Amino acid sequence: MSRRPLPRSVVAALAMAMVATPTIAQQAGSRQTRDFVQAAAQTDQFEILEATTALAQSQNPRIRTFAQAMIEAHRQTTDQLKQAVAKAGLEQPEPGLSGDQSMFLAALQSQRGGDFDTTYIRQQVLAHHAALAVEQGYASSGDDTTIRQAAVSTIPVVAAHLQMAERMMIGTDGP
Amino acid sequence: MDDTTRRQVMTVATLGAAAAMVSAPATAMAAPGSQARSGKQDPRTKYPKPPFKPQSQPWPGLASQMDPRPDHGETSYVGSGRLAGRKALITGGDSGMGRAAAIAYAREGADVAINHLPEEAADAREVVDLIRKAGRKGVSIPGDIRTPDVCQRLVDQAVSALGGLDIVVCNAARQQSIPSILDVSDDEFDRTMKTNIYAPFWIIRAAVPHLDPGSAIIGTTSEQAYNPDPDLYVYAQTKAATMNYVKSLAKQLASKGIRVNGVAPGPIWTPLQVSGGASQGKLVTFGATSALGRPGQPAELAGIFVRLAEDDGSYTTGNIYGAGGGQGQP
Repeated sequence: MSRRPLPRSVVAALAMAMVATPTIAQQAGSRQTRDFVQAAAQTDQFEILEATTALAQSQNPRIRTFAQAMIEAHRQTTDQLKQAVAKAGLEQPEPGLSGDQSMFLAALQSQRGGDFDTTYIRQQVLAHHAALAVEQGYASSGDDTTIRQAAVSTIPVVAAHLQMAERMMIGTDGP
Repeated sequence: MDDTTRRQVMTVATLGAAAAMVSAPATAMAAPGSQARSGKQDPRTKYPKPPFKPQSQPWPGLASQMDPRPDHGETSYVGSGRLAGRKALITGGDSGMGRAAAIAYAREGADVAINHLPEEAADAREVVDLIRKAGRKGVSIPGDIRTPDVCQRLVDQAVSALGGLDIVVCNAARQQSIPSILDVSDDEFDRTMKTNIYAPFWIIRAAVPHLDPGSAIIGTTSEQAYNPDPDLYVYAQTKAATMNYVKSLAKQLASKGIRVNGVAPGPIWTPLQVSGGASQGKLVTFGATSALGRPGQPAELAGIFVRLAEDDGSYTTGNIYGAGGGQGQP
């Protein structure tokens, strides 16, 4: 680490910036964009955690295949989001789940057998409906072009997952 | 049982002699962990996060066989004489939060007797060793606390081995995850009630005549007391009972100068979870539901057990202290 002294003009600019900084810390990107990035990251994390739970708990091969696909797809969307966020010059999202997602995961963790499978798929249908709405909302009116492109490319992935989950719900939830 | 008792008496005698030979003061023993106090730590990254490996042990499970191994403060807890000269009995002191309390109590200057199931002897040996390394008397009293006789004998042995009693921690518990009430057998229900509700009653009833003013009783309750998971129907109601007896006994025993408090943990990484307390599905993502995104480690509750036992907490009675990772009530 080299420690070159900062030019005097930079120091002056920094000092002015510090004085001018309002009490709320400045963050890169609009609130709309930051909220979207956070929600998208939480969805990825939720999907991976639910699928990890399913792979440890479910014996149903269709559930297991779906869970494996969720892990792979949402690792990919995690990476894509990270790249887009970096490219857009924004802060990377915080780890963690939303309140609803942690309640969903807690409820799933308490199930076994057929009830587990039913709960997982039911939650997956709901979660992908919610995720699709979030992605579509930002894709149509988001104010950051790079992030909007990421949303646009994620929509068909989420839509396909929703379709898969809905088809499975007919299979597991019907009887 | 007679055989067990004799062996216990032998153990007590041997340990007493061994403890007497150890002359190092508790503070000197705490040195290995002193660097842990040197800086602020990030609660998000301090301990392992899910996903965890699927793993299962027969009940009651051993901490030494868990992956990752739980942290009970073995290398990190630093004492400062907060319980100097006290004598403590801790049920379930071989692993989990009871073990964290045992290590902390010893490093704070207390002599400690731990109770555990005979199957947990391997974990218990490690704890007694740690207590002795802290320069205090450590006693292991194996026994299944589901009968009044065992509980009475446990208190008697602790009193005679330690030369009195000042702190009683009712921490041992049975927990099994059973999603449907239709699958709960009478035996399972009875086992949980006996361990979690009857045993504290029998132990506290036997201990109170030995407790002077300034003594403390601590019960381990749970976030489950307030917001139960559906598969913990049996266990969760015993934790509600624990939370409740803490409050009635606090009022009843205040006139004797004995304080009674509870500790309410959130999801904590202990053998109870890997031996039927949680399903494999819950285990691999254990703690992901908490705001910190990880389970708590027993070591993260040690300070609470110390706080509720020490004189500085003298106005705290009938209260529940939590460590819930962002979830849970009082």
